[in-house]
Formats: sequence, structure tokens, C-alpha cells
Amino acid sequence: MDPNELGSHVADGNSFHFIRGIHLDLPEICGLQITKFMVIELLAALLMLLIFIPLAMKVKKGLPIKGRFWNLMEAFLLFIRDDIARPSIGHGADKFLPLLWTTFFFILFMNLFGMIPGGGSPTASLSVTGVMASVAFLSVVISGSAKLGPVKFWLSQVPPMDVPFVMGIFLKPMLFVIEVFGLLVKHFVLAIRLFANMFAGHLVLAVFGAFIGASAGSFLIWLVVSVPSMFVIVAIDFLEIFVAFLQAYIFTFLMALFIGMGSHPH
Amino acid sequence: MNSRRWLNTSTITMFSAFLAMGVIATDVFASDHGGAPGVNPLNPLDSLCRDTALWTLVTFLIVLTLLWKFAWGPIMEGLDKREKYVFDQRSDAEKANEEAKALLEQYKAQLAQAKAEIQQMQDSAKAASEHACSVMMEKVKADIQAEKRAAQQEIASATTQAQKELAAQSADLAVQLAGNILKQKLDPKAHRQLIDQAVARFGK
Repeated sequence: MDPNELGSHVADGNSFHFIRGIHLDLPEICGLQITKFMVIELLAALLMLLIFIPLAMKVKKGLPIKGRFWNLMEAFLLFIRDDIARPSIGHGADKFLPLLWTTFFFILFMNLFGMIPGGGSPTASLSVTGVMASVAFLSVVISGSAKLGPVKFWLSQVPPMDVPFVMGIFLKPMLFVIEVFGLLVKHFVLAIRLFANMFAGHLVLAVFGAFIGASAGSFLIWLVVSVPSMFVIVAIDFLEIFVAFLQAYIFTFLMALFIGMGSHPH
Repeated sequence: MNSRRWLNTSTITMFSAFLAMGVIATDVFASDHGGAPGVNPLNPLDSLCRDTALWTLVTFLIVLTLLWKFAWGPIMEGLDKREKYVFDQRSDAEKANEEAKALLEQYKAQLAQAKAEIQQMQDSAKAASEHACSVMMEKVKADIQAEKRAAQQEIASATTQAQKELAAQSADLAVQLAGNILKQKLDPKAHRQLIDQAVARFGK
């Protein structure tokens, strides 16, 4: 089986593919080639607007809201506020709530679009997760600098050490380099973790799907291969839905933790 | 027997569903999708795309701004309002509870006082009625005693009177009998008749 062909089921592309060879080619607008992931990101953003603006209109009055769906959405928001933002950031956590809420749902919806046949997870691309991690990095630097001052923020990267002055002259610059590198790595890993989880999960699904495609030559082999493969695919689908939520949670939780660490050093 | 147990409707339905999904999967995975030329989709670095990254950033920032203004702001405001409402309701409820407890204590005290008063009234009424009853009983006893005494006296005087009358009559009869005896010739038959007459008269 051609790995490129296999990868094309997971990776970004210039068209949407459906069954019976039907595909929807995406246009190029002003020199910008629209891709599948771009459209899905847009859909995720639209979905967020369609859900949370009506929810805001209901919650605004300050009375308990009615409806299972709205309560479920509110439960998500409250979970992020009470169990992620406030414990991780501490005082002033509510200022970061819009950023954390948007990050969580943007990632979650992008992850979940991968579970729709014919769709895909934009989070299975480093270009997307890299941007999300950069947003996290920038919010850490900006919030830390706003709270401590730009110079003190960078200086506070070095942990306080009880060492003789002479040793400090040598040790502190080295530690500064290591800590700043660590800060960058932490955010890079944020991008890699999300990307790798989504990419790998969808690739596994594609491999089991490819088994079926590869066995299409003989009916008997196809019959023996396709039913167990579909069983595995359905089982992994459930796992992937769980992973979609888990990774959105982990990304948001770590982002909140890093913001908290940046604003309250050591 | 065992083979029949697992070969039921749900197993067949599930098998058919997987088979149908397999048909669709065959359609999807056996056809050529034609990935971008010169790009290895399995290499994450190959799939890095500046346009996608910029698109992501712009989409994220736009959705963040729109939601901040139209959703997150009002939601935070609403949640704070609700929190305040819940706390206010709770403190009001606590206050009402305290008031209700105080009222309950007051009513309990009043009830206990009323009960004590009722008991006292019952006791005094009972004592008064017992006293009245005993006074009445005494009076009745005294009356009965007096009536009994009067009746006894009456009986005694009647008895004395009767005895006197009987004695007088007996004397009269004896005198009369003696006279008759003396007047008549005493034969045994007449004697007998005389005695019978005297006895009969005595009986009257």
C-alpha cells in the first residue's frame, strides 16, 4: 500500500472526498488555495458562534438556563473556569477565561470534525497546532510581562538560588538559557502532543480502512477482512471521540498552567 | 445449541452493519485520492503550510474577538449575576430560616404556657368539683342520718304507743273476760267457747 495514499486520508488536501468517487474541489481565492482544513476550521469557528452567542443571550439574565444542550455547554464552561483556570492561574484567572474557553472549544470542535466521514481534523496538522501553541506561548509572555514587567518576567525564569555571588555569575546565565529553552520546548511539545495524538489516531483508522481497500480483489478475502476491520474501526472511533475531548482538555489545562506559572513565578 | 445462542438477531444486524460499512470503506479506500505531488503526507514537516497557519491564526483571533464581545463577556456577566443571585437567595433563605426558628420557639413557649394554664384550670376545676361533691355528700349523709334518726324516733314512739294501747286493751279484755266468767256458769263447753271468743276478740 502506498504510504502517500494512506497519508492523504489524514492529511490536508485541496478537496473533500466522499463515497462513489464524489469529490468537492476547493477554489483558489486571490492566490490563496483553500484547503480542507481551512474550511473545517471555519466550520468549527461558525459552530462556536452559533452555539455560544445564543447561550450568552440565555445566561446574560443571570437566571438558571433551561434545556439539556445549553446546560451541557454551560457545564463545559464552568468546568474550565472552576477546574482548570482558577486552580491553575489563581487570582485574576477570570481575565483569561475567554482565551481558554475559545482555545478549548476551537480545538475540541476541530478534533471532533475528524470523526465525521469525509471530514478531517485540522489538529492533525502541525501548522494548526503550532499556531495554537504559539498563541499559548504569547499569552504566557504577555500576561507574565504585564504582571511582573517585561524585564522581571524574563529574569524570573531563573529560579532563586542560594549560591555565592561568584558562582551565581556563572550559574545564573546558564540557567537562564536552559529555562528559556525549557519554556520554548514546553510550548513546542504542546503543539507536538496535540498533533501526534490526532494524527496517529486517524492514521490507525486509515490503516484499518486500507486493509479493506487492499482486500477488495477477492470477495472471500474481502469478507474475512472487512468485518473485523470495521469492528476495530468502530471501536477506535469511540476511543478517538474520547481522545478529542481529552486532548482539548490537556491543551487548555497546560496552557492555563503555563500562564499561571508565568504570572506567579516560583 | 451453542451456535444458535450467539446467532441471534442483534449479531446478524451487527454483522450486516459492519459489512455495509465495509462496502463503503472499500469504495473510499480502494479509490485513488491523489495527494499533493511531491508531498509526503506522513511527514509532518512536509505538511507544514504557511497559509494554513495564517488562516488558523486569523480564524482563531476573529472567533476569539467575536466570542469575547458577544458570548464570553455576557456569559461571565450572567454567571456572576447568577452567583450573586444564588448567594443572595441563600442568605435570604438563612435569614428566613432564623426568623422561622425564632417564631417556632416563641410559639412553642406560648403553647407550653397555654398547656400549663389549661392544666392548672383543669386541676382547680377538679379540686372545686371534688370539694363541691364532698360537701354535697356530707350534706346528703347528714340529711339521711337526720331522716333515719327521725324515722327511728317515730317508729319508737309508734311502738311505745302500740304497746300502751295493747296493754290497755289487754287489761280491758281481761277485766271483761273475768266479768263474763263470773257472770256465766262455768261448764267445760261454755268455758271452751268463752276462751275462743276472748282469743278471737284479742286477735282483732
